[in-house]
Amino acid sequence: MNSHSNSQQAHLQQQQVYSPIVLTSTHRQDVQEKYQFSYEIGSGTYGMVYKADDKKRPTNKVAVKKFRSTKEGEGLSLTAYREIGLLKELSNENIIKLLDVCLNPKDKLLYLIFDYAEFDLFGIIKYHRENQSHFSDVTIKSLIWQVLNGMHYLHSNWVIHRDLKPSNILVMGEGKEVGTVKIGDFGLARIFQSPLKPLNENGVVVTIWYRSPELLLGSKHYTRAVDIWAIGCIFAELITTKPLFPGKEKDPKIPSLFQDDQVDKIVKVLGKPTLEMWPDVKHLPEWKRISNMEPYPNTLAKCVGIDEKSNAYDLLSKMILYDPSKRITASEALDHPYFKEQPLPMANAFAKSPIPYPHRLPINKKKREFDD
Amino acid sequence: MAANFWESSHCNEWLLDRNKIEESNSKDKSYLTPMELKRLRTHYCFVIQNLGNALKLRQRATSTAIVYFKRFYLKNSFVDCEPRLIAVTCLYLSSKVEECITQAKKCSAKMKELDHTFNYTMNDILECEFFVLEELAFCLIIYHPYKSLPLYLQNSGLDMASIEIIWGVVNDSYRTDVCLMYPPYVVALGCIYLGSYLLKKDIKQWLSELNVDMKEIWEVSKELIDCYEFEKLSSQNPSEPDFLYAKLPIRNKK
Repeated sequence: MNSHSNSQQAHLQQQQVYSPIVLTSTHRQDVQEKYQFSYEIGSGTYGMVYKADDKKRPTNKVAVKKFRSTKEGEGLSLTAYREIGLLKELSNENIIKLLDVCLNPKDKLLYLIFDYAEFDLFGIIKYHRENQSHFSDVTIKSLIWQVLNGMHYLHSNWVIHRDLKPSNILVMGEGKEVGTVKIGDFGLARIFQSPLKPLNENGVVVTIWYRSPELLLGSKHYTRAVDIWAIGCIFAELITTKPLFPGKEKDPKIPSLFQDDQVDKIVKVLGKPTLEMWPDVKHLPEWKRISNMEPYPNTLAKCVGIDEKSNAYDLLSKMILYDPSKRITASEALDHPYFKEQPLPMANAFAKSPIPYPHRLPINKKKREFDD
Repeated sequence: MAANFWESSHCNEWLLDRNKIEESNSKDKSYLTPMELKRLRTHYCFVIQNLGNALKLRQRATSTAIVYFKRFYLKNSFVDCEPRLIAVTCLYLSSKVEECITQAKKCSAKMKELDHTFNYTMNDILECEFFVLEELAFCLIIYHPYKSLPLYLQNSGLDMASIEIIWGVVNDSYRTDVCLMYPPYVVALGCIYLGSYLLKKDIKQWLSELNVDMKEIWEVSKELIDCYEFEKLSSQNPSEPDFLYAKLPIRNKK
């Protein structure tokens, strides 16, 4: 009993003793005072994401991203800096909006507050795959158009996302923005005023399924074309509800490792790249590993199950083109005949029909379901 | 946004008029005359520059840190926020934003080498990092005049050899408040205008053909001339900053 009250006293004392090293003009409110946390909806290397209510506007749901504290002596992570720095400047209907930033200097914790998006492409593709149903044409077209629209905005502002994948493409649920795509997670995004170092040099691990062939073959430079490749992969995944290139990843902790299974998956769909279709490939460090491979035909249309003469196929094949310098750009893609033919892309990708997808669940509950 | 200054927070929230800048360091005015305060503010620009050089950071990071420092004190005062600690923290922060990251531990150690009376630790810097971020309203991306210099020089007819002199003038401009008042391209042109005068080259014709406000360009160069004159005068009394610093009842002084 005695020791309990002692520790309580010590705790109180500690709270009283904390006096900030500087006295600033900003009045700070703790994140808990401003937002009512509901439950955890996601986690990653950066930290955790929670669903929460904005206490000032109780009808508004928000997503709170809580960053893991970094190692002793490091301060806020570069990832956090990039995300805050960029999102503070970016403003587009298809880019997630940073609403607020909360800091706790005592615990060295950082919280970013975003619009809450009920869905993401990972979840809704999974729903269709498990129910063996398909997206409607208008939904696929609207989703891809909006992703390209957000990407065109980023690219024209000299920002490369570098980590596009279905779970980073959010879609708004019921409300005035229902069915609107929001590109999220800018932790790896960079301004490319100066040449960008490869992510693996920074010790960063990204999913390989959406990684472009030039990066897989050891290219040291990121260009806008890496984002377009990823969007192409996602386009095919929306059509079939299955990932287009689900390669088995070799130890992600060894960044320089050649991902032969991922490259193999691509070759089995697009055929073996040749010097005629991609002249600069001979300068890539890993080119030798595939130059001796047996020729393999392009089977994209069959794999995705669409007509080779369709506009959808034409656009898809231009997005997942081997040669990054010939790959279609976001602005060219938005101008593609696919988007000019019926059905036309819509601002509400769900096209006003009822939304069948399940809402986000607390993370531990999901795990329990998985165990069952 | 990286390409579009006109939609940036720098352009839309952080270009201020002179009255707003005069509100800086409001509490310090009870202890220092306007001239003394100006002297001390200039001094900390040199402190950041020297520390940036000692840490071998890119000039861009140092210039960004100076802008952070000036923005920080728009609403704060030296007496509440120790200026050397804020200076070091601004540089630590800008090293992350400008992708040439240095360690907080290294920052405090180098600062101690340059100023033996500096007793703040790595943890003080890390705690301060949060306060500085908040006071900057999380607007971290700063546009600089450097990028437009080569193009302007080429068009103005000045030879590329003069870029070194003009580059130096741009660096000096961070000790004035022009980075808080004018878009970077105006600062660049103001520096080129002053540089052409120093090089005894006439570029008035070229400037008049540009679609820019000549009054602003003239004001930038005027700010710089004032700054050089002020620094020439104050260089006669190099120990003055320490004396002025001692006059301030600074909170949590270490």
